[in-house]
Amino acid sequence: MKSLNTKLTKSEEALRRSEERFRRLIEVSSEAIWVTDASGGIIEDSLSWRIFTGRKYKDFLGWNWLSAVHADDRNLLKKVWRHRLKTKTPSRVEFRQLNAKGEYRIIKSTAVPIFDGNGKVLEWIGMNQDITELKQAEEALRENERLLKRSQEIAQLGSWELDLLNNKLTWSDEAYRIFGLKPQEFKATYEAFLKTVHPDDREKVNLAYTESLRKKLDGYEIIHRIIRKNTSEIRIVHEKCEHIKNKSGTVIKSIGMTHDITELKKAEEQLTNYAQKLELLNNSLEEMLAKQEALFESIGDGIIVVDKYGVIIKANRKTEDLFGWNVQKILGKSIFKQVELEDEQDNLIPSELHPTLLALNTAQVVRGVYFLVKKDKFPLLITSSPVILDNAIVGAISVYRDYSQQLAINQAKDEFVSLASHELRTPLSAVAWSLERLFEDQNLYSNSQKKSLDKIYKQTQNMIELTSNLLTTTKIELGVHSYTHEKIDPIEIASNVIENLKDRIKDKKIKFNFFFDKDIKPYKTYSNAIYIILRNLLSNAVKFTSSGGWIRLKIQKLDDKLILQVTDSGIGIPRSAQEKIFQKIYRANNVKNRVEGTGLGLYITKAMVNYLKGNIIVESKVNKGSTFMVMLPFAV
Amino acid sequence: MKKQILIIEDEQVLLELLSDKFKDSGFIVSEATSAEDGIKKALQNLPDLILLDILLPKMNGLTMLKKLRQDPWGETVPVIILSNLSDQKKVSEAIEIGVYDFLVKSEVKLADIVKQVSEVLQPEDH
Repeated sequence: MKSLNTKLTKSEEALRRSEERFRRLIEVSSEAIWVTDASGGIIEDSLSWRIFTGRKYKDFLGWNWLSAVHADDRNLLKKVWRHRLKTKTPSRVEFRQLNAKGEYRIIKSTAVPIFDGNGKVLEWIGMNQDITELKQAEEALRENERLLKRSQEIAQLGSWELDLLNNKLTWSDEAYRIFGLKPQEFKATYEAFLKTVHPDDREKVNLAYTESLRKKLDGYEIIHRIIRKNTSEIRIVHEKCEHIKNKSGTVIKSIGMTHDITELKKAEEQLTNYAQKLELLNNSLEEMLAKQEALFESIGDGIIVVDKYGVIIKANRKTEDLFGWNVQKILGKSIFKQVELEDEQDNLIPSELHPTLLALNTAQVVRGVYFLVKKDKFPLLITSSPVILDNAIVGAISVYRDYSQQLAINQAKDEFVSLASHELRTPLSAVAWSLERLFEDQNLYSNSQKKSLDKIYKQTQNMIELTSNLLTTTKIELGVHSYTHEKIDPIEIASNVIENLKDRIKDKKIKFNFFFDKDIKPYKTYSNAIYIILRNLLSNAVKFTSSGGWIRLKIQKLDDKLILQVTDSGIGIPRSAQEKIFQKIYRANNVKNRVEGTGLGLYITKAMVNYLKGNIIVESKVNKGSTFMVMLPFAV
Repeated sequence: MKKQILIIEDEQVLLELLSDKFKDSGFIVSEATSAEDGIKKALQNLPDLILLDILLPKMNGLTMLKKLRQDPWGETVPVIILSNLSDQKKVSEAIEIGVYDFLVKSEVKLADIVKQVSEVLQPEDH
């Protein structure tokens, strides 16, 4: 009995100890351990449970522990308990529970039933584990994966992994897309990959991979074409693979990337194209420059380039002949000191009138004959052009031509014309003056004799006019017609012309009107050109207007132009002839055999108008009259 | 009192026509057919006016005029150019040396020349 008692005591002792161990375990466990009755009402809690919730044991007795659970998860827990009661099997559930700091934590709760001898559930014992951090880590991992996929998609960079030990190939979603497949459409295989490779590149790609394995390389890299399965589009990819080896050096895993570089390649090609074009352009530019340089050096005229201050930047070899200098020694020096000029009468040209400075100051091309101040003075035809960049004058280029020969030729031509003029006019003058003397006593002749003399006189006058026009035309065409540049009053010139025509106007009883703007002031122009224009137009008007008709001369100032307008009530010019009248020796049908003329007057007039940079237009109606209008710019 | 003019003209026909016309118009006329002869006659006769041609054998009329202008008397004597040259350069040159007018033979009547000369010599009557 005693031994039984002792045994009992021992058993009790053992049980008590076991219970004590269990309680201690519960108390020290970091997990919250709990015990409920068969229906779920709490019986036992733990220290960690109290620390976690920050509440006391009595607060949770019975079903009160639900109050610490997130309201949204309470029904779930109740459902789980009903299931547990029914099935009497261990189960797990996740829910949110308020901790001592008032934060909801994610809890994983595991419950195990404890049975009595008859298989009836006595209690439930369970363990609550705070898995919040774990959950967050999982979420972060998932987010990272998502990001990786998205990055691959954006970069068109697919990745793959080949496990050689298990012969398992995995492709990333983007790898599928690059190959024109739906992500994870089928199980990736090396053969499936090879199929996407362009047939012409297949062997090359296969070899790169197999060789790298055979030679136990660290990896391989290759650029090849693929054909997208869904669109049949050819794309270019860059494959880069790294092998992972075991200790013996055998490759056990290959990690690779497939980068779609089609756009990159296209851009690269375009860039190469541009580069080639640029090179071509550069070459042709260089060639052009070389040609220009050669031209610059070999040209027969002296060329000097100056900056905007007149400092010599460049001069060609010909300038050495012309100016007797060494090009290298005059670079950087002032053109105005190096090239001193004077006029025909030995007057020094001041630097403000130096053609180069005129070009720089006026932004216009300046051209003229100057004489170089040198031991043997000789003429130069100088053309100075301003160099304008972005609306600013940056310098000037001047061309210097030795004009001695041209000047001599011009002089010879001039002398020839002068002589011809003199020789032709002398006999005509003699005839005209002799006739004049004969006319002095009209009583000496019969009427028919007078008529004959009259005819001779008229023909002589025609001959004189023809000679005069022929000479002017010849001078214009030889380029030796001289123009006087002086300040003149156009009204005064017109008055002189009218004065010279006075007798003819009176003889034909023509009514002559002269209107002019009072505010036209004397200005500098080529006076004899204006004289010739007015004389020819007015003389024509008198010639082609019948007796008793009228002529009107109008001189006006319109903006920056001088307008000379001659209108008559004459025989007019047929429409078909109007555009031809300014041609040499053209005479309209309606005057050919009826009115005396040379067919040179309007040709000369037009040449003069051109010289003054003006315009001439005609308006006319047959048998009504004509209007000639000349527009001349004031600045010439 | 009759006015005296000197005509320098190398063309015999023209010289005769001019000379006769001026004589008929009441002038005393002296003639020269070259520039050298012209200077001599001018300084010898001291005419009231000189009618001067440009194209003359050897020395031309304008060169002669330049020389004449260096003489104290010749400096002021009125000169009218009567030439068949109508070149603007010659006209300018003549005006620069100092002439009353530049007439082109083929474009003027004898009567006009006489009128012009009379005007120069008797400006107060005009």
